[in-house]
Amino acid sequence: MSTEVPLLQVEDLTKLFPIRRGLFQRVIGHVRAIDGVGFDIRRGEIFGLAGESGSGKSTLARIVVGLDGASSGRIRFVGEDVHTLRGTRGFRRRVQMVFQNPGSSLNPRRSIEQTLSVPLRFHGIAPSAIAPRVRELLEMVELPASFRAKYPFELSGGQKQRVAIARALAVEPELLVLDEPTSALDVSVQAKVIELLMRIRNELDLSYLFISHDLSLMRNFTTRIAVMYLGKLCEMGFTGDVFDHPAHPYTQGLISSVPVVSEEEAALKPAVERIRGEIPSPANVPPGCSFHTRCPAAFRPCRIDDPAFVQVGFEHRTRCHLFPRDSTA
Amino acid sequence: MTVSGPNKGGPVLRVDDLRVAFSTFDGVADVLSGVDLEVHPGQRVGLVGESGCGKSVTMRAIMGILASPPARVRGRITFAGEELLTMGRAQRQALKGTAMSMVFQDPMTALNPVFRIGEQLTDVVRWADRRRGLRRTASERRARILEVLGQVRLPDPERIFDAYPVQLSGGMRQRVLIAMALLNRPRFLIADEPGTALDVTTQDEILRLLNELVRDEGLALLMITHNLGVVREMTDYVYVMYAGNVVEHGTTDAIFAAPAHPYTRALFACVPKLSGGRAYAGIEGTLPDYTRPPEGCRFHPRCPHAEARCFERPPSFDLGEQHHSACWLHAPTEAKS
Ligand SMILES: Nc1ncnc2c1ncn2[C@@H]1O[C@H](COP(=O)(O)OP(=O)(O)OP(=O)(O)O)[C@@H](O)[C@H]1O
Ligand SMILES: Nc1ncnc2c1ncn2[C@@H]1O[C@H](COP(=O)(O)OP(=O)(O)OP(=O)(O)O)[C@@H](O)[C@H]1O
Ligand code: SF4
Ligand SMILES: [Mg+2]
Ligand SMILES: [Mg+2]
Repeated sequence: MSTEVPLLQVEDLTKLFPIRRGLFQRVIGHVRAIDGVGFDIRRGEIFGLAGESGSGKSTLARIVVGLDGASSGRIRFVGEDVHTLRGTRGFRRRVQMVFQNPGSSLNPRRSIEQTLSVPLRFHGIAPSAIAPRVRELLEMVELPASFRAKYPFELSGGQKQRVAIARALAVEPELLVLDEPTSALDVSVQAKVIELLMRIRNELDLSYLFISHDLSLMRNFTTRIAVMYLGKLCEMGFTGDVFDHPAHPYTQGLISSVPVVSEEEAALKPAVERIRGEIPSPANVPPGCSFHTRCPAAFRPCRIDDPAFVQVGFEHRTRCHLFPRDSTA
Repeated sequence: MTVSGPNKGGPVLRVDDLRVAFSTFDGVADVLSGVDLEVHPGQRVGLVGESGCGKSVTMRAIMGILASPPARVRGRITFAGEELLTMGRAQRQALKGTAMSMVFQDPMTALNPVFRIGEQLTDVVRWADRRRGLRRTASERRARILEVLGQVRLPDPERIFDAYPVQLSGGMRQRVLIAMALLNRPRFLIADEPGTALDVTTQDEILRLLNELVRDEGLALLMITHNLGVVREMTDYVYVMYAGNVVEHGTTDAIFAAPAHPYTRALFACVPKLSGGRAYAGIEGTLPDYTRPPEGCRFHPRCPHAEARCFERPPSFDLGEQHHSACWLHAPTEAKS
C-alpha cells in the first residue's frame, strides 16, 4: 500500500435535515440523510457510490463539492480540512460537479460560449484567453466549434451533458463529482458519454466520484465502489470483489435484481431471495440494522444492534451481523 | 367484448403497415413508416429501440390517443378481429380502458393529487360501466376495486382506498396504476416503460407482478421499454424498432442468442454488462430528422455495413421460423448460372 495522501478523505460524516411542522415551523424531528459515512478517494481512481433513491447519495455529493455543509464529521482534500478550504477559490476550482439532469443544469438564456466562460472568468482567466479555451473545451468533449453560439434548447440530452462536462472541466479540476450523469440518457448516448469520461480521465489525470444506481455501469466503469442504504455505507471494496463476492444481503439483492441481457451475466447474479418492500423513510430509520425490515437473512440481533463496519476481505468491508467482528484482515 | 369466431387462436392485436405522420413547422414528419406487429393472448411482447424511434407513437396509435391533426394515421389496427381505425368513435371509446388498457409510465403525474385513490378508481369503473351499459351499485364497484388492489399485492386495500397519492410510496403508486389498468378486466395491456421511475429492487417487484398477472389472467402484454435487460427477462417475443420501422423481430430467445440486424447488434453493444470486461462504443450519429428520413433502410447513414442497395428498402428476411430481420445482408447470394 502506498502512503500517498488520498485525494479526498471523508471521515464520519453526518447530515441531518430538520423536519418542520406547524405555524411556527417548529423542528419536530430530523431526516438522517447521511449517518457516519467514511471513505477515501485515491488519485486517479473512479470511486462509485450506489444505492436506492433517498439513500443519501446526492446529499453526500453536494457536501463533497461544498454546496452544502455537514452536520458533523470532516472532509479533507489532499490532507487539508475542506471546512477551512471551503469557499476558497482554490478548492472550488479543484472539485467540480456534473448534475443528473442535463436540461435543468444549464441556463437556458445563455449560449454555450457564455455558459463555458462563466467559470473561466470567475477563476480569473485573462479575457483574451477565454475564447481559445472555450474552443479547446468543446473539442475535448467532441462538440463542433459551431456549438459556441447555440442555446441549450437546440441541443439533445447527450449534447447538453457534454456541455455540462466541459463546464466542469473548464477550470481544470482534480476531482469530478458525477451525480448520475447518464441516467437521463438512452443506452447509445450513455455509451458515448461514458467513453468520453474514460478518455478525459486518462488525458487529464482526473479522479471521479461517480454516483449511479445502474450497477452494470458501475461494474464496468469504477475502480472501487461503496453501497449506501439509508445514509450508511453497507459495503465497500474493489469493484471486482464486491460484484464477485457481495457480502451484504442488500448488495446481493441489488445485484440479483439487475435485469441482464445474457445467460452468462444471469449466472453471475447471486442466488438469493429477492428484496421485498420499499426503503423506509430516512426520517424514521429502523433500529438495529437499518436493513432488517427488508432483509431475507435477518435474525434476532438484527432488530436490536447496529452491526459494525467490518473487514471481510482485502479492503473489503461490510456492515452486517452475518459477519461478526473482523474475521479476515 | 366477446371473441368473434374467426379470431379464436389468432392474435388479439394485429398492426398492419401502420404509418403515422405529423404536420410540423418544418414540414411533414414521417415518423412511423409501415409498422407490422402482432400480440397473441397470453403472450408478452416487447417493443424496444432508442429514444425517439417511435415506440410511444406506436402505443398511442394503438390506443387511439394521438391528436389528429397534427397526426395522420394510416394502415390497419385489428383488435379481437375488429378494425379500430375505421370503427365508430363511440365503439372505439368503449374499448379504451376496458378490453384494451394501458399502464401509465409516471406514477407521479398519472394520479390526481387532490382525490383519494378510491375516488379515482371508482371514476374509472363508473366510466367504463357507462360505456358498456353495465349497472352496478357503489358497493359492487367498491368490492371490485378492493379485489384488484389485493391482486396487485397492495397490503391493506381498505386503507389504500381511502389514501391520497402523496401518502403512498412510488412503488405503491405504480401498483395503483396497474390496478387501474386491470379494473375493467382487459384482455390486452400496454405498458410504456413500466417502473422506470422506480429503483431497481422496486422495479423488479413490479415487473414480476405484471408477469404473474399476464400468466394468471391470460392477458396479452405489449411492453415498451429501452431496457434490453427487462426485455430479455420479461418477454416472449421482441420487436426492435429503428426510426419508425421494425428492423428485427423474433422470439426473445432467438434474438438474444443471435441478434442479426446491424442496428440490433449496435444497440446490444451499448449495454454495459454485469460481467464487466469491455465497454461499448455507442452508435455513431443520431436518429434521422423525420421530415427528411433517409431513403431505403433508414439505418444506412449509421450502419457500418451500408452499401449501394441499402438505398432501397430491404424486405424482411426469415432467419428462422420465428426470427426475421430487414437488412440486405441477409439476402441470399444469388447462385451464378
Ligand atoms: N434540503 C433537504 N431538506 C430535507 N430533506 C432533504 C433535503 N435534501 C435531501 N433530503 C432528504 O435526504 C434523503 C437523501 O436524499 P438524497 O437526494 O441525497 O438521496 P439520493 O440517494 O441522491 O436519491 P436519488 O437516487 O433519488 O437521487 C432523502 O430522504 C431526502 O428526502
Ligand atoms: N405530436 C407530435 N408532433 C410531432 N412529432 C411528434 C409528435 N409526437 C411524437 N413526435 C415525434 O415522433 C418521434 C418518435 O417519438 P416517440 O415518443 O414515439 O419516441 P419513443 O421511441 O417513445 O422515445 P422514448 O424512448 O424517448 O420515449 C420523435 O421524433 C418525436 O419528436
Ligand atoms: S445485519 Fe441482519 S438484517 Fe442487517 S443485513 Fe445483516 S442479516 Fe440482514
Ligand atoms: Mg440523487
Ligand atoms: Mg416513449
